[in-house]
Amino acid sequence: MRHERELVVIYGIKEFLSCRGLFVFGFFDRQGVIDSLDIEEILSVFYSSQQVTELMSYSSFLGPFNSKEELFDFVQEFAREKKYTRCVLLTLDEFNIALEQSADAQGILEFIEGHGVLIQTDNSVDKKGLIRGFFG
Amino acid sequence: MKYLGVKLDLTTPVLKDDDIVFPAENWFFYWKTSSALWKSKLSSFHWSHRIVVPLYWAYHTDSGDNIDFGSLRQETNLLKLCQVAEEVEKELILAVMIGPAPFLPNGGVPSFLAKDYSKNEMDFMQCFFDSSYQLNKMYSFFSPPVFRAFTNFVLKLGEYLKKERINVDVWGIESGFFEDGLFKSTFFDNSRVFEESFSRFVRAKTSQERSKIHSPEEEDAFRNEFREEIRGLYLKAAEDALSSHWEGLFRYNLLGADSRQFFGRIYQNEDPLAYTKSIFSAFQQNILSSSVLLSSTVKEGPFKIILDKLVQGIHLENYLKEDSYDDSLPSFVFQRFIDFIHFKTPGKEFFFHQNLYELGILPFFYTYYQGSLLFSEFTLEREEEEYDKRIHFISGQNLNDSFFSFMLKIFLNGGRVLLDKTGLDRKFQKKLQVFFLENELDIEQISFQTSLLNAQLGEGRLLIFDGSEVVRFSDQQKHAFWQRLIETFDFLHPKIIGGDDLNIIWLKRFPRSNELQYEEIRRVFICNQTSYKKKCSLKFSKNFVALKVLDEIHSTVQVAQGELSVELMPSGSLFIDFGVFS
Repeated sequence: MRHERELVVIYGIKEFLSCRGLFVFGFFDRQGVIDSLDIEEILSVFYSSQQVTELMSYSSFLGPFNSKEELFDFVQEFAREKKYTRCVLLTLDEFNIALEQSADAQGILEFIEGHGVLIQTDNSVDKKGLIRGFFG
Repeated sequence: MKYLGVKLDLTTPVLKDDDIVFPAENWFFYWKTSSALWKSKLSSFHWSHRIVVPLYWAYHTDSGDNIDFGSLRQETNLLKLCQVAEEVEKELILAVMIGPAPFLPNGGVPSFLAKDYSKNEMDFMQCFFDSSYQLNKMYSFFSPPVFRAFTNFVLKLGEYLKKERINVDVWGIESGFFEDGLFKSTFFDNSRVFEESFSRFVRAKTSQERSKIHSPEEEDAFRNEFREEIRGLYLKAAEDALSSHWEGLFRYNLLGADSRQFFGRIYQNEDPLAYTKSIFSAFQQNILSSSVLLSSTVKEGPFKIILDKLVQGIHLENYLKEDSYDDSLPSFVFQRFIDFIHFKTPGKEFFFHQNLYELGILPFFYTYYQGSLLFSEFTLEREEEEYDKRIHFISGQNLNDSFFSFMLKIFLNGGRVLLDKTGLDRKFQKKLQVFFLENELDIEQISFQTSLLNAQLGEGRLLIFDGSEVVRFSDQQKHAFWQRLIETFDFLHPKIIGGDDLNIIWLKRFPRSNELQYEEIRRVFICNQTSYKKKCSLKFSKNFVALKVLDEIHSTVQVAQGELSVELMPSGSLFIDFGVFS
């Protein structure tokens, strides 16, 4: 049976070590969090080694990105490269709301499905996806 | 039904009754069953006669003023619970949660206090899935009303135990999990309430102290100091209120609680391999593990063997019987060859480990002596301890007066100390010289790849090296350096060749009456949780006799002179016993 390959990305604005910007806080799929080594490998396909170092310089977060578009483009390339069929993006605030409003794992998945911005790896952005939180 | 490609069951999974009241490793959830059934439940538990009972704070109070221990609901009657346990010859250990408990709704906090969510270092709300994927949300323990209510709860508990003359030990339990090999407590908080409390803490400092904060790192250190201080207040409140019953604080590694696993568990995906790694990290730091957050369906194969035989059968049992008289047969304890002792500085543990890697001592031990390492913290309580043959590794970088005295005490009591003098304060360098002169010690200066200083006093040994030189060696030189150095400590132990990727742990016990020809019995557990066939060999000297192979699962052993060749299929595991002569 072929399982759908889905990537969930949580992002948001964060002031981190005196740098305020747009960061990715976590990539995860059904196996759990994507390893940072994997991310570094993918980054090296699209960015120069200096840019990779800059993007990976904060141990817990990936970024900062200059704009939401840049972040979304990166996620899309990453998802394509890692053969994900689609990815869902949520702000950290939205994800925290998902946790707050859910009683169980199923509730979180329902929230993600209903509130995240959906990006198909063939470039089509699902307009039904909502952007809330930081970029309202 | 499918969400995000995941097939979800619409029916609630049915848990077995035993899994509900005995969810994991000797834990009994008294609130999950009627008090009328306590007797039959406790008597049906055959794993051990010692049972840990976590106290569910919220179950005993609705408003915080009245704490119920049986006057309103029989299910809160701890006297009855202890009496029932005595009747069925079980020994109960009550456990008070110091900080949020991931296996309880609201982290165990009564609902009237569940107002401010706790957040982790990434600003995610601290939530954990229980064994049926229900989401337990944690609330901040940095809120003053939570502290006041907690103090009242432990005070009333102490009075109740005294009034009813309940003779029972009480533990404090701090829940946490392992991430990147380090224990992280659920007490950690980064929420708005924490920030407010922290601001008050900073304001209360003198302007001179405040002026020390120049960088984000220094502010982090300040935050850690504040966290430790508040955690200490909770601990002190429990200790004072329960003084005659208090046995100390025990940290618990809850499998499935780390944030990496959390995301996988959203999809109901479990990773026993990661849990096993977490258990072995906990063994190395002598921290108990619990599978309370995992469903019984996850506990299968080698993972179940590890939980049953090592976590529950050895680690927990040794903790539980530590202070009680025990006339049973000698049982296994963990074998430790080296104890990397570090001074507890929150947030700095990572650098301590990194330094050990750079010195090459950790890779050396991981290559040949897996499953026999200990990482421990120096605390002021760490006064009395048995100075066995293990090496005590101490880094000179963050010694203070009491840690320095502790190090000399180990040496004077016949212990073995390996001191890295890099970063050793001048004050301590001078103190060491005076110590050598006062005790008229023969100091041997040895030149091997670098200059070493060796002091001996009876059985005691203090070997000082300069780590700043060792880190500059090539990998080969580091390996040769540690091999030679460790050889001089004369410890006899089988070397495991090719054990990478395998989970290995060494145990030891005194011989029983039919084994008196041996000085000690050692047992190794080897487990292959990879999806490949693995081979390793154990090379041992004439002082060792391979006695028996136990519980072989998908594994074979071939014996040759002074060597055992072990082949393990995926999910294979086995125990091997050795008799040791001097």
